[in-house]
Amino acid sequence: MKKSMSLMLGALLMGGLLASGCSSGLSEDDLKQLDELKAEVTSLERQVQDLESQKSALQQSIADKDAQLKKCAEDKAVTEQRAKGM
Amino acid sequence: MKLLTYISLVSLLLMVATAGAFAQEMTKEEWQKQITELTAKRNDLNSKLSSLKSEVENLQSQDAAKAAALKQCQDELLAMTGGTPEQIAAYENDLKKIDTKLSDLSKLSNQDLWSRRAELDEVQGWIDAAKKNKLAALPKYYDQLADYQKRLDALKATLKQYAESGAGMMTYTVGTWAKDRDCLWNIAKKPRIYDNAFLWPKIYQGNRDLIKNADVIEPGWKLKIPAKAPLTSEEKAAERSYWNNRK
Repeated sequence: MKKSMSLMLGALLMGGLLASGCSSGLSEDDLKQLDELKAEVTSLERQVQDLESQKSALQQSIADKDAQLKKCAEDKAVTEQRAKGM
Repeated sequence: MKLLTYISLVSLLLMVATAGAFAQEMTKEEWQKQITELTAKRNDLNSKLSSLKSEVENLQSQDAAKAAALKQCQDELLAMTGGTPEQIAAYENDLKKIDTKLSDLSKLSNQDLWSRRAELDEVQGWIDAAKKNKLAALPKYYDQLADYQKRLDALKATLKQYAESGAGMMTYTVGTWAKDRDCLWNIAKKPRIYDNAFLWPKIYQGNRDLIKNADVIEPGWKLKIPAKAPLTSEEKAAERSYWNNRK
C-alpha cells in the first residue's frame, strides 16, 4: 500500500514537472505579432511577384518595339529608294 | 491494493501524455527564431520591392520613349509617300477590292473561270493602277501587290493550261464559202456560236495555230470556239492588228 502510494505521488510529481517545464510561456501578443509578420511577408512576396511580372512584360514590350523600330528604319530606306524610281 | 497500482499507472501515463502535448507547442526560443527569420525576410523583400519599383519605373519610361520613336518613324515613313489618311483609306479599299475579286475568281471551276476570263484583265488593270500610286512604295502595300500579282499569274496560268487542253470547248467545222458562206465574222454571227459577229476575234485568237490570216480559213478545219464572253485584251489587240494590216 505504501509502495503504491509513493508510486502514485511520484507519477504526479513527474507529470507536473514535465507539464510546467515544457509549457510555451508565449503570450497572445507574441502569437499575434508572429501572425502579423507572416501576413506582411506573404503580402510582400505577392507584390514582388507582381512587379517581376510587370518588369518582364515591359522588357518584352521594349524588345518588340526595338524590332519594330529596326524594321521601320529599313522600310524607310526601301521606300525612299522605291519612291525615287516612281 | 491492485486498484491503487492501476490508478497510479494510468495517472502516470496521462501526465506523460499531457507533458508531450505541451512539448509540441512553440517554445519562446522557437518563436524568437521565427520572428528573427521573418523579420530578415521582410527586410529583404522590402529592399527587393524598392529596387523593383525603380526598375519598373525606368522600364516604363523607356517603353514610352520607344513608342514615341516608333510613331515618329511611322509618321515619317508615311510622309515619304505624301499620303493622307483619306488617301490611305481609299488605297486600302482598292487593294481590298482586288483581294476580294481574286478570291472569287480562284474559287471558280476552270470552265467558269474561262467564261469570266475577261475579268482577269480587269484585275490586272487594277493592280497596275495600284502599283503606280506612290503608296505602293510602302513595303506593306508593295508586298501585298506582289502577292496579288502572284495570285493573278497563277489564275492566268490555269486558264492558259485549260485553253491549251481544249477541254470544255465547243468546235466548229468550217464549211465552204460557196455553200455555207463561212468566214470568221459569219461563224461568230451564227446563233449557236456567239450570235454576235463582233466576237469573231475570239475564234481568231483561239485558233492561231491554224489561222495565220483572219480572212483565210479552209473548209474542213475544226475550229475551237472559246466560251462566249467579252473580248479579252489579247483578242482586242489581235482585232486591232487585223484592222491595221488591212489599211
